[in-house]
Amino acid sequence: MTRQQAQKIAVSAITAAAGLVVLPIVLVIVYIIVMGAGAINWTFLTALPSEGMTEGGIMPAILGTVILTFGTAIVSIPLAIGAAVYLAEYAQDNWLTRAVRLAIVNLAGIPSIVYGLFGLGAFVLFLKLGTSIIAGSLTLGIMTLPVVISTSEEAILAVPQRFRMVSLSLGATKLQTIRHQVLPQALPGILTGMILGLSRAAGETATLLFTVAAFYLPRLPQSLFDQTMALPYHLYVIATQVPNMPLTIQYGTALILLLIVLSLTLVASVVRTRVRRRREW
Amino acid sequence: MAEQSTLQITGWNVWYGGFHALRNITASIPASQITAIVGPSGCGKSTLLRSLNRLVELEEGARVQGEVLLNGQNIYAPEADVTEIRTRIGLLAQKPFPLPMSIFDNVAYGPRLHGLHRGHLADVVEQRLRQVHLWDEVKDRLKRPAARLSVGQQQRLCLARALAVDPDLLLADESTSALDPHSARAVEDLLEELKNEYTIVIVTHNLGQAERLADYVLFLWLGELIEVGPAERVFGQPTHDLTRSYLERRFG
Ligand SMILES: Nc1ncnc2c1ncn2[C@@H]1O[C@H](COP(=O)(O)OP(=O)(O)O)[C@@H](O)[C@H]1O
Ligand SMILES: [Mg+2]
Repeated sequence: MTRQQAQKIAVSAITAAAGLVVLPIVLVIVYIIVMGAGAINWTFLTALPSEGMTEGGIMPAILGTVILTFGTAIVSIPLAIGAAVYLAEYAQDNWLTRAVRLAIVNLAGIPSIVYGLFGLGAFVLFLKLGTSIIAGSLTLGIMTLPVVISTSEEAILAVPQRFRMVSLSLGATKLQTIRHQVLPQALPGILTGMILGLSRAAGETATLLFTVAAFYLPRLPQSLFDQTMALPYHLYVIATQVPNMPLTIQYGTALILLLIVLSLTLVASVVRTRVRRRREW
Repeated sequence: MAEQSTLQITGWNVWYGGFHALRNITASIPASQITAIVGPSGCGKSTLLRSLNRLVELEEGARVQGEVLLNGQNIYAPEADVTEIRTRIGLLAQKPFPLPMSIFDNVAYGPRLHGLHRGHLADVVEQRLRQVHLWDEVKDRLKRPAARLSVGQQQRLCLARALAVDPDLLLADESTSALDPHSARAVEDLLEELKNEYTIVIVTHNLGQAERLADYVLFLWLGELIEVGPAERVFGQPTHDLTRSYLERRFG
């Protein structure tokens, strides 16, 4: 075999590998659309479930997922950005910093069911928040921290040192420099991390099991201390626990969940390119 | 602006980790003149310059010892307010580093930090851009990104930005070395104009430039101050062998 032939074969293999990566995502999306699109109509999106969830809509679950995603954002984003700024801009190389870093790495590796158990123990029982939106948001928020912290820290470190120097030399305090130079320039990266984290939270099932999700709650939550339905858990329930569940409802539910997560990603990339274009300066 | 801003450096030492980068420097820098720090590359010129506005302490592992008095006040005193000190001292870097903002916002950056009233911003920006002879070139595109300007214009913009916080002292670290000859000359001419109002310290290893601009010269060699004095005297009759041989080699 000549080197040219070897080259050709290698390039084909690499291209095929790249193509194969696209295949599953396309298949999943197409399959779910084909199977679930039929279920989607106005009632499905806006009505409460009825007849043991085999009819009616999934509005409480959609709303629950949206609320929980917001809750997660409110819990995790300020904490994560604070921690990332600390790590990137203030942390000395000492045992505390090393401990924080180790904690983040390990937090990222903990299975979500374990987060669920932790949330149950800490928020639901110990803090007596009950199975509630607030307990779920706190748990999901903590689960989301590592990825948001890591990506935000990277984004902050990637801001060239010269901009900090310019800002400081003009008499800015370190905090002003972070606020007016570092964070705005790191924003695209921080957004990416946030969306990554939030879309994982939006699709989370195991964590919700113990902390927030109602098996069947055909009404809207009344307060942050109320339970709520949520799409991923609802999907799990109707797919495994309810006999005679029409398939289209299952796939319709999956489709809505997928759309929510994809639109999060889409919003993120639109915002990111916008910000980046403005930042080409 | 404070008339007659003087700088007195006494027993000044800087270490980077274990490396002794500046050794016991003592010199006074005259007000309303241009002082040039010259010497071979790596001798500590930038370190000395960055010592004057307390940026040196931000370098990893940097440690300092000694005094730097600005108008009689030790800027390294524990109670000294470092942001206030940096506000009184403008810095022009080797390359123009426009902030990723519009032309207007670059000049307005410092005044905004220091809480200048919004209504005065436009005036300040115009005044500073005029001061660096950039106003006519950019007055129609103040909202455009600063990075779209030519490199020479960017450097003048950075000078306007530094002047906008109304410093007493201007530092410039090889600020023309990245520019084409024409733009470099424009910046030189500006420094010449500004020296009536500001005390200026420049770093250069372009001795021609030092001769053209400097009233006063500090010659550094491997972290030590070898010779200091009025430019005419140092360039005309260097007293130290190191200075003489450096000048001979550089002027050819
Ligand atoms: N941040 C730093 N860390 C370690 N060494 C440094 C640092 N900055 C400069 N140095 C060293 O200190 C010496 C003086 O550097 P510098 O002041 O930049 O010299 P110059 O401007 O005259 O070329 C050089 O040997 C350089 O390698
Ligand atoms: Mg230098």
